[in-house]
Order: sequence, then structure tokens, then C-alpha cells
Amino acid sequence: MSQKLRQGWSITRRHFKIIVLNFMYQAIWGIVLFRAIDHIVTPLLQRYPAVSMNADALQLFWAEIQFQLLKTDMIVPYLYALIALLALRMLITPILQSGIYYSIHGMSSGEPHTRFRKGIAACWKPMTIIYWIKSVAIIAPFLWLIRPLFSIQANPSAVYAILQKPGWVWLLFLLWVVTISLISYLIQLGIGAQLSLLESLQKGMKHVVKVVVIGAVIVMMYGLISLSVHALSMIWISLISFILYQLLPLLRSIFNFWLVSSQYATIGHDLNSSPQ
Amino acid sequence: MSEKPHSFLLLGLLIVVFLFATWPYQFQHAWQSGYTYALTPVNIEAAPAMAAVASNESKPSTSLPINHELGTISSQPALSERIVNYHIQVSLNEEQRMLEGEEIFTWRNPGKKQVTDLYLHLYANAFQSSETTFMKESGGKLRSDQATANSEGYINLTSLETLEGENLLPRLKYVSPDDANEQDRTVATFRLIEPLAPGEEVTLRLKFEVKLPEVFARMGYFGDFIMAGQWFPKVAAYETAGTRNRAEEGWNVHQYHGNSEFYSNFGVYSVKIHVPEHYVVAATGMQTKVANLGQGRKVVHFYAEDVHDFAFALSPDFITHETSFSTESIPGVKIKLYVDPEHESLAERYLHAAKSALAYYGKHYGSYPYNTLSIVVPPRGASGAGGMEYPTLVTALAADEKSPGYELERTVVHEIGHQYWYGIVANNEFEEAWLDEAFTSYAEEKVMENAYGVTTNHRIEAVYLTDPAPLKLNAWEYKDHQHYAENVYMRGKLLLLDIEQIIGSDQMNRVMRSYFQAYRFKHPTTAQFQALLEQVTKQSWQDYFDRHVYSSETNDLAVTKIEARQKEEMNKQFYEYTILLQQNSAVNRNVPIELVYADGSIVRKAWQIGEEANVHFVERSEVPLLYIQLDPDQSNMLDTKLNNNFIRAELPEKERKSVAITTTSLLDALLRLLSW
Repeated sequence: MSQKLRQGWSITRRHFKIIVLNFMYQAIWGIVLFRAIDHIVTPLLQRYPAVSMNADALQLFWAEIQFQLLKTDMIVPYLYALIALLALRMLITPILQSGIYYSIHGMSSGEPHTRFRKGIAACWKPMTIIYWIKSVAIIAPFLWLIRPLFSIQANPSAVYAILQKPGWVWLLFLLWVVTISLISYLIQLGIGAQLSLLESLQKGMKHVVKVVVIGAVIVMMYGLISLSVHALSMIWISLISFILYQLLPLLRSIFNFWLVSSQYATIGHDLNSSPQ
Repeated sequence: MSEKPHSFLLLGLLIVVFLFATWPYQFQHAWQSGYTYALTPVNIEAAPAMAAVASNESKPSTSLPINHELGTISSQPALSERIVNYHIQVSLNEEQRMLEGEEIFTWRNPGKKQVTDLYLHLYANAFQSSETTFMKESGGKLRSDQATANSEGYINLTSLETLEGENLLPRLKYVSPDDANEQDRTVATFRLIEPLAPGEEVTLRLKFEVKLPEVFARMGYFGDFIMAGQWFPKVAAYETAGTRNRAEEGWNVHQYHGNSEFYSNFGVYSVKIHVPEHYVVAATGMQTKVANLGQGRKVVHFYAEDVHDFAFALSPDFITHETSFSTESIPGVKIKLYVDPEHESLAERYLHAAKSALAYYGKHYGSYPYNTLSIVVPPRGASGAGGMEYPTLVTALAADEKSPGYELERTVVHEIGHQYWYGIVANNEFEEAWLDEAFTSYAEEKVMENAYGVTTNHRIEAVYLTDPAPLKLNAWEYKDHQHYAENVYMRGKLLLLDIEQIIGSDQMNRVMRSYFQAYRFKHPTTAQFQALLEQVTKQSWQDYFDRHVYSSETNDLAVTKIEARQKEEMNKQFYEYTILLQQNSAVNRNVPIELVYADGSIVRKAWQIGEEANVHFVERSEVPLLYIQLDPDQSNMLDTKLNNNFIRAELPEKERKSVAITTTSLLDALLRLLSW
């Protein structure tokens, strides 16, 4: 496996420009989000009576916020903004994915150069379809599960109604999300190799164990690093931790590329051997 | 009245003989012992408004039309106008949970114009179908009690005729003055045979049957327990010119709404209730006699004067307690408790709460003018019947909890408070519910604090008011029950407390007392309360009422901005803060500002609120300022946004960044679950 990881790493390194591009894309989102949140949080924070001599002050602060959230439409514009943000990202995501998967697959099967733009042109359509099917398959049952929240203003105990759902419902949902994500990922790898949907699924399923194991290893590595950076930036606020934090999207980009590259390195030969 | 005095005497004698003969039967239900018939001396304060109101009043009538059997009752001088008098015989059909009744009412035209049509409230028809105005507006739910499959009910008028036997039923038609809902049959009207001249009386005889709903909204049954409120055909309120500042006289009639309670003229009620022998009967007014009818049934007679409604509760399980209570201002009241066996052990708490309430209200507002006060504790599950006021009868919370907290006392104190505002002052609850609910909530709070040391968190209440609405608004025009309740009960109460903050407790006590004294039995309006407030305080409250009562403005005080600068003068370092304040107060008032410094020192300043919406001031100090708290003791009760009363002088960059970054990364992680 370490050989495949090394192979993947070398492909990743050769995609440096695209990684930087991807990092910039992520960083822009980070900045936009940070600005927006800072704009909302700072005035609130200035009203936060942590330093007040009045013992009830904190409780009252939260009570007012709770009533504003539960009894007014205050949250609605923020929710819409969040949904718009998510929708925009969901439009861009499959386009990025088609370029990256195609290019990585090409390189893992011997192409000397990155082919990011060609990849977008070649497979943005099937990539978008699969991505949106997957998203709807995850979002729809999630909305169904949290539907008591939509009437929370009329019935403030809706939160408890959700929490009181038996654990297996959530477990089942989680299992569903993992399965759907895995299947759609396998298909997307196939699409990157310009296979048809059915072929992608067939070949992907054949290698599902390898894909999962490699995925788990890389995600774990990233998780460890990311967690420590997050912890560091929360506990020890300094310039270094701040810079590290700002670099996280870069790290994430690198790991993401590494993940895809390693997986193509593992199963790419099989994806290639399909009759064109 | 009989024309022949000797036959009247004979009848009286017969009644006395009958009473003695049936004495042993009554004894086991002896509830009528030792009533104090002496009239409570009316404590008329020389309130300036009094004279003006009194001159408006027409001469009260004390006559009861068919009064022969009431020879044993010494009728008191009328306290109210007594526009309508009822004689009702009602029989419980416990198998079918129905009431079968016969009613004779006499209505006197109190105005200066002829009256051609009468209006009747048939409130029980609110439960007739899911299409009635009440059911549509309430969604079949009142407070937290939901209608059940058995919650349909109705009142059916089977006969309506003159004493001469002329049938008026064909003339009856249902009207919906508020919403033209044809499915709503809670108001009926009919043309009289002859137009009724001013001061003339008309007496009509009705027969009716009521199918009781399983209780979720005030009236109905639960098991063997029956709460009969708004159960009989009731004449609507007729207002003379001047009543409630009305320019022209006429009916004031509204349907039964999801969010509305009631409004009627005062009168006299004589009601005989036929029930199975083992039932205990609680009702408005005083019980005058009990007679066995044989076949396991009895009739219990109640009589009430100067009330505007009559309610009764029945249960074979009630355990009864009785105590008499008198203070300097309450000359003598029998407090009667009809408690569900599950709460028998709590009887003392109920009685104590009632006494505490009466004592406080008597002392602060005026004397309780009736001889009885009954408290009914509905059984577990019948909470729909609980927490409701009727003249001289209140229902406590249902006996759902084994050992309830102060909500037991609070409910009793609250409902007894209603006796003063809903019962005696008797404002129009359809159109100005706050005059009852807010005043009662205000009074209740005073008793709870005074007698039990229980205080209310007004800050939480204030910030809970996220959707303020005008206080003077038709009850059904609020968005929903919650909107109605939080404005009419809570915002109204906070407004009274706010007035108290501005004028001081002594003045406020004078205002409340004068208002009660001047308007008892008079159906006042918001404007009349305002006028009285202005008379007592000798200042105009127009702007205040315009903004906070007639419209929904809150009185939001805020620290909008603080700017810090470090300066140096003559080698001395100090901080200079520019502080920006904002207000939209309707009255000039003093609000304290608390400045708290890093060394723990606190400086209090008074903000003399005037006309300016924005005020800024500069503060210098050698020690850095920690924060500013506006109105730390919440002297301004109408501010519903309290978080903006507080601001930190400086927000440490570190704290700001760490919160913003954490939030950003959480949100980003959330977005990344679904997208790149």
C-alpha cells in the first residue's frame, strides 16, 4: 500500500499548480466566511456580559437570543444567505472535481502534463449529475429527519422531538450517507477515467475495499494534523497558530489530491483496461 | 309582583313551613349557614372621576320579575344597574352529559331609545363543529388543552316565547357580527313583538338543551365532573350613551372567539340546579336552599346579585371546605372550597391563597362586595376547566400534580384578582381584554410577592415579548393565542409596572384604588383608565398611551456605540470614552447608567431622558472602563431588547478572533460536508 501512496504522492506533487489554485479557491471561501461571521459575531460579542457583575446576566443574554431565534424571523436572512452560499459551492464543486479527477487519472496512466481544463470540458456533465443525485439523496432524508424544526416557532419543543428519535434512525441515516457518498465517489472516479456510469459503478465496486482502506489511511492522517492545528489555534492564539490555521486549506487540498491520486494509482489500471 | 298582599303573605308562610319541614334534608348539605347579609359598606373615595361617572348612570332597578319564592332572601340595595335578571331551572342529564333548562329573563331597556331586537349569546355553540369561529381561530386548542373526539357540544333553543305564550322562535336568526361566518351560531337575534320603550321591561321564557363537550376550553365535562360556564342563553350587553365612552347607545355583541372572553351587563340570577343526590354543586352566588326531589335527585338553589354571569360546577367527588373571612375592608365572606379528593391534603393552601388574595385586594383596591367566594379544583385531566374566573366562583388548576409548586397559589390568587377587574369593574373583554388580564396579572404579582415572597423575573418576561402588539385591540385580532396572551397578560402587566416605576408605588396604589372605586360595576374603557391616571398623577399620559397602549411601540434604550481613546495630558495617562445612547421614550424619565471599571469600582449616573433620540457623552478615567450597563435595575419595563443595554468598552482582539475563527471553521466544515 505504501507504494501506491508514494505513487499517489508523486502525482500529487506534479499537480502543484492546480493544488495552489484549489487552495486559493478554498482560501477565498474562508475569507468570505470569516468576514461575514466576524461582522455578525463581533457586535454580539461586545454585548456578551461575560464581565458583568450581575450573576443572571449571562442567562438573560442567552434567553433573549433564544427568544429572538425561536420566536422571530431574525434568523431567516442568515439561513437564506447560508443556503445561497452552499448552492453556489455546489455548482462549482462538480466542475472542480471533473478537472481534477480527469487530470489525475490521466497522469496516473502516463500523461506527462496536467489536463485540468480538458477534464472540465470532457466530463463536467456526468460529474454534475452524479454529484447532485448524491447531494439530493443525502439532503432529502436529512430534511425529513429534522422536519419538526420547520415548525419550531409554533412548537418550541420541536428540538426535543428530534432528539427523541430513536438512535437507530440516525445510525441508519449515517450508514445511508456513507454508502451514498462511497458509491458516488466510486462512480466519479470512473467518470474521471471517462467510463460510463454503469462501468464506473461495476469497476468501482470491484475495488471498493482498496478504495476504502486507502481513503481511511489518508483521511486519518489529515484528521490528526487538522485536529491539532484546530486545537492549537483555539488554545494557543499566536501568530504561528494563526498562520498554521490559514494554511489548513492548503493542507486539505494536498491531502485531497493525494487521496484521489493514490486511489487512481491503486485501481487506475483496471479503469484503463476497459474497452473504449 | 303579586297585586294581592294576602296571597303573597300566604305564599311566604308556606315557604317558611316548607323550609322547616325540609330542614333535616338540608342539614347534611348545610352550606348556607350563617351568611352575612349585611351590605359591605362601599368605600367611596373622593376620587374626582367618580362624580363625572356617577352622573352618567341611570337609576338602577332592583326588581326581580318573578320573585315570589325569594321571600327568604333579603335583597340588597343594587350595586349595579341590573339590566337583566334571570330565573333558570336547569337539570343535569348525567347519562347523556346534557343540561336541560328553562329560563325566564327580564331585560330592561336601559337606554333612551326604543329597542326592537334582542341579541342572545349561545356560547356553547362554539363547540358545534370545527367550522365555528372559536374552533377555527383556536384550532381546537385553548392554552395547552386540545379538543378531544368528544369535544363537540352545542346549545339548542327549543322554545322562545313571551309570558303570554306567543312563540318567538320562528323569528330567531343567527348572526356573526365579527366575521360573517355562517357556520357560527354563537350569537342569535330576534325581533320583539313590540318595540321596547326606554325604561320598559320585557320578560321572555326559553327552553334549551346543552350538550356538554369533553372539556378543553372552559366549559364541559370530564368523567363525572362538570363545569358549566357560558351554558345558558344570555342576553348580550347593551350600552347606553356614555357607557365606555360610547356616543350612541346600542348592543355590544360579539361571537365566541378563539382568544376572547366575555362581556355582559350586570343583573340578578336565581338558578335552580337539579342533580343526582350525591352530586356536590358549586355555583356563583349563595346557595339558598337544597330540596330533595325523590328518586335520588335534589335541587340546589343559588342566588346572586350584581353579577354579570353565572357558572356552576358539579361532581360527586368534591370534598368541601368552608371558612369565613373578614378584615377591615372585607366585612365577611364565606370562602368555599370544592376540592378534588386528590388535592384534599392541599385544602389549606387553597384557602390560604384565597384569603391572602382577598386581604390584599380588599386593602388596596376596595371591599369585595359579595358574600361568597367559591374555589373549584377540577379533577386530574380536566385542566381545560381550570384557571378560569366566573363571578364569585373561580377554578384553580386541575389536580394534575401531586404536589404542585407556587402555581397552585398563583392561579387562585390570579382568578380571585379577576373578581375585581373582570367581575366588579367588568370591562369589555372582547375589545379591551388587557384591562382585565393585565390588571389581574399585576395584582396577582403583588399578592404573590406580598404573601409568599415569590417574585417574577421581569427581564425574562420583557425579552420574551418579541412581537409586541397594541394593548387595546379586539381579542381576535391578535395573531394567535400566544400573541394574545403575551401582549394582553404580560406586556399589559409590564406597562402597569412601568407606570408604577415612573410615578412611584404610593401614587400607583392611589391610581389602582381610584380606578376600582370609580368604575366598579361601570364597564370602563382604556381611555377612562387613562383619564383617571391623568387625574391622579396630574400629568398627561397621552403620548405614552398612544405609543405603548394604542400601538405596539416598545421603549428601547440602547448603548449603540463606545469609542475608547488613550490620551495623555500633563504627563498623565488616561482613557477617554465617547458613549452613544439611543432612546425612544414617550415620557421624561430618569434612567440610571452604571459604569464599571477594571478595578471594580462602579459609577452610577442618571440619564435624564428627554426629547433627544440620540445622546452622547464623554467619560474620562485613569482606570480602563470595563463595561456600561444601562438601566441595571430595569426601571424601564417596556424595553424588550435588553442585550443592547450592555456594552463592553473594549473587545479583546484575541477573544474576537478566536470566536470568529472557531465559528468560521465550524461553518466551513459544515459546508464541506456537502461541497468543495
